[in-house]
Amino acid sequence: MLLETDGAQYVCRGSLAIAAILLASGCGSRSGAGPAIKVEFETTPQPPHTGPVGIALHLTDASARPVSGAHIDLEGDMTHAGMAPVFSHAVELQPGRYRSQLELTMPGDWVVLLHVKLASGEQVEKQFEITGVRSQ
Amino acid sequence: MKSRASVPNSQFDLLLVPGLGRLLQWRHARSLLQIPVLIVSVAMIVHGLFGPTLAPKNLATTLTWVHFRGALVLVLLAAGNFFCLACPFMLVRNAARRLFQPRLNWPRALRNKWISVALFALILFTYELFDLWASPLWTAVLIVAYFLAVLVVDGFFKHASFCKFVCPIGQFNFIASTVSPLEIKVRRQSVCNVCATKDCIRGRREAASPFVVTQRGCELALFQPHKVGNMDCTFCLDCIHACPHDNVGILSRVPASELMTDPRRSGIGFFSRRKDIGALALVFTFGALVNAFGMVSPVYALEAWIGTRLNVHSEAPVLAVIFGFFLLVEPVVLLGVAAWITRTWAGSKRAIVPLALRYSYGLVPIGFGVWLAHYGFHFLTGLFTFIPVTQSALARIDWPILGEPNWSLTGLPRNLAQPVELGFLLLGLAGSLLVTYHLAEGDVHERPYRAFTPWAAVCLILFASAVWLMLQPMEMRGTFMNMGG
Ligand code: SF4
Ligand code: SF4
Repeated sequence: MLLETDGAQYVCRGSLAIAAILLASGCGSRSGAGPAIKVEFETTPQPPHTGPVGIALHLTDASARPVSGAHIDLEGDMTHAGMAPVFSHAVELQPGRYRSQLELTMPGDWVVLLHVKLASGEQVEKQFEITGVRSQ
Repeated sequence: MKSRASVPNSQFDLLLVPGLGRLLQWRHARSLLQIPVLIVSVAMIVHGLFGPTLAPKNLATTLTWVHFRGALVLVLLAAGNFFCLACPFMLVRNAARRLFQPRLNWPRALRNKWISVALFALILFTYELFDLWASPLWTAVLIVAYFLAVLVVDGFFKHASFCKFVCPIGQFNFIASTVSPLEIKVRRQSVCNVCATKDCIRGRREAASPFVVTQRGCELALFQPHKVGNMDCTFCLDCIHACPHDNVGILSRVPASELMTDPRRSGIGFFSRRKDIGALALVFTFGALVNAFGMVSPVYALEAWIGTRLNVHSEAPVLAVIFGFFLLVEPVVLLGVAAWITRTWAGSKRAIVPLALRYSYGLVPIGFGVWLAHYGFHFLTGLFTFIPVTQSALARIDWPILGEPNWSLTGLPRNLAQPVELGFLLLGLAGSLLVTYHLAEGDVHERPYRAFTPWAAVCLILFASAVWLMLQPMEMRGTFMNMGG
């Protein structure tokens, strides 16, 4: 019998404890049914390329009424790890219609996360993709 | 107390470094390194399976594809195969072996690298096909699959069968560590010559009951006095702990020197007769280029073109064509032509296949240079990204001890990382030119330059391809098929 892995049992226990904590947090964070908000988006230029990309957002509620007075933060992430996200904020131009600009720093596929805080204080997270961004 | 064999003056011995040397000689040194890696691995698996689905926000993808790979190649360049030393899979395997002792020997017909070379190529292929770099879930599944594979293989088969014959990461480390500056080897051959026990390979047993092993010998079948180089060495330290004469050190050597000679190697045989290891060297070298090619813009145009020509709408056959070309056709053509010129123009006595096999080892440094440039780039430009990802993971479990995620933490700017990339490529080129020249000298004494010329051309072609890749705009995309080309 080998005597070399005295630490193995403790390691496994410790690791499982961490696993349990992360598991609990992860499971909880994926759910979350917010208010039914529909987001339509449009990006310019088309096809998208690196540099500033204009993003028009149209927010409507379940009865297709424009959602006004929302505070929207945008976050652009690449699909590859190790890349810095880019951030910006949207301003409302007309009821339910918002406009923003993201500085896309690299060609490839981008995922845009919308952190929306409604006038009622409720928070909604939405995401969409800007794929096939080319270099300028 | 063991009496230490002295070290030749010209050589540096890591085990003699105050503090570090003592630590590495401690019998639990390996566990000490494996434990934190295992804990991090478990965190990666859990975060990958249940955490954010975006790769840059997940520990599984960030640590695997940015930090682990980058640190791996940099440590291989600066020191040696220390990642196998800290391998968490082996810690779990050892724990499992306390419950189940394997009884079978690895089948004789499979005692080669063919399975692991195929798995190596398969991982490169699935990496592109399933965009593993973009998927925390599949990255976590891959890590879990790895743990299971280790448990199954080493649960049934004795010794380090998984490391030696199956593990693709291990093969990557083995072949890359042939250019590392450190090697585990005997300090004085003369001590081994009079050694009666050979514990470095046999292991040590309890005096009262010889079936009880108190210290393992080399599980990789590398007998220290005849061990040459780093091939197959996991840096597990077992031989160091086992040798009763303290005659095994972690010694310095000329990087890549083991590729220039062809002695009989313990546990391996002759490099020049091992087609499987030659194939590993080629998949390692040409795979480096394919892997880098997968992240630059022209690959999408090529994929779209092949897709149109084949009239297919799924990525697998298109990638199969690309991989087939880069991992089979290109090496066969380049090495075949170079070997033919070496034979006909330089007058080498060897046949084409043995010639190609012998010189294939000379391409390892340039292959390593490409891996270094690619993984080093991601590592350097994403160096600090693990901080906000960890901050965010902790914040999600309502334990924000590291504060709010600071997403502005990234790494070196891309324009600063590029010269480093070029430096790695130049280093690889220089290494390959040196090794192939040395091989040419040994092959055709009278006209070494003639023998060297075609291989230098192959090295330069690989270098030029790598530089071209480096200068292309990086483009990280998912499958091309849903992008409309
Ligand atoms: S145990 Fe092995 S390394 Fe140590 S002296 Fe004997 S043969 Fe040499
Ligand atoms: S026991 Fe074998 S694999 Fe482990 S360090 Fe020694 S030679 Fe390398």
